[in-house]
Amino acid sequence: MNEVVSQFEYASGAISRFSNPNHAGSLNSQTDTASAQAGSRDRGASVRFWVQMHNGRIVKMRFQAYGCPHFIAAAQMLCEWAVGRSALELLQWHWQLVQGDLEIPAAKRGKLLLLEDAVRAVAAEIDALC
Amino acid sequence: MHVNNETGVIQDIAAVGAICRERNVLFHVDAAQSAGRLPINVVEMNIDLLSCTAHKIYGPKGIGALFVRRNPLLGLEPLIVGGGHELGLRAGTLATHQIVGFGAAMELAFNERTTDATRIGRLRERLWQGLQVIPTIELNGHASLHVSTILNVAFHGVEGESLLCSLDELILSAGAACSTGSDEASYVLRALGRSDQQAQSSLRFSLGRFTTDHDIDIAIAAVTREVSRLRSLAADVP
Repeated sequence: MNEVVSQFEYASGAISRFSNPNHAGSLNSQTDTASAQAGSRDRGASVRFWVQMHNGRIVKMRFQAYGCPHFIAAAQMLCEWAVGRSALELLQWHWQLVQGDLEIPAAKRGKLLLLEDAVRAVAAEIDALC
Repeated sequence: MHVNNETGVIQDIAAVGAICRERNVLFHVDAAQSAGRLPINVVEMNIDLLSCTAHKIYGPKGIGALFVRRNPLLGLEPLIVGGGHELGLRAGTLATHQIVGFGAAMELAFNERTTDATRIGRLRERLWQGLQVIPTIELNGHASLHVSTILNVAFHGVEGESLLCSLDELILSAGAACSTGSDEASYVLRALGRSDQQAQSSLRFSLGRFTTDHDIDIAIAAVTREVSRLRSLAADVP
């Protein structure tokens, strides 16, 4: 193999979360579980979140994602942040919260808005559980 | 382009040359990927101009060569003027060390051409066969009309940058190395009928004189593992 590619530099926080996304996966559909999706593969990024609620708090959050390493790392970091929070607090999530750790290049930040869309959608689904 | 740099497909240069000659059209061949690897006869192939480069055959970077048919004169105009060097075509002191290095590399490439092609071709086939345990992959290129040094494969359902990033034990490319820095889908693969997404999910493997069986085994294992991981990471997203 003899051609070198380096399209983007990756921060260690991005690489570690992309390589070991321990919130990746899904949750079975139950009465205390909500799920929502945003984006599409055709547009280069798509994500689905599953959340399990208990006493008004998120006790588990899982995601599946198609996208670049920064997008996957941001979905993972969002899950880390969300566990223990309420649906109302979840709605406060915005992409700048991951920028410091992930050092996302400006050209890719638009895709992170899909995560905000998915968060809003899943928060609405949580409301529907109640 | 004698050999496409992304897919490794060999074009029928002799046929193109015959058409050009018949219609009195000058014929320039980009032989960057083929010089030193494939037989080239500029007379029989009706080639008027042919360019090649040293670094593709383990020569020094920064030196290339342009063959210019002598008769009849083509009337080329110099881009760099100011001296009479290189028959008035390019002013400036000749980089003798680069020229000698290029010549030595070409001599080695020519002498080792058959041995290299056989050995690297076997490695390429080993890689391609090994990768076929992965579901829904496709060869980008031609099954038989290709050089031994390039294998381009589409891994459907996997995002290209994530796949590249996952394969940090390999050094490979999602397209042409000269186009890196752009996240646009390869125009070569799109011209073959691949969608933007399929083109971005393709990897070009480049093999060479120093590639070993062990390298190939590492590549097969790593790509198989990471394609599976990334597909599972996106199993239920549309």
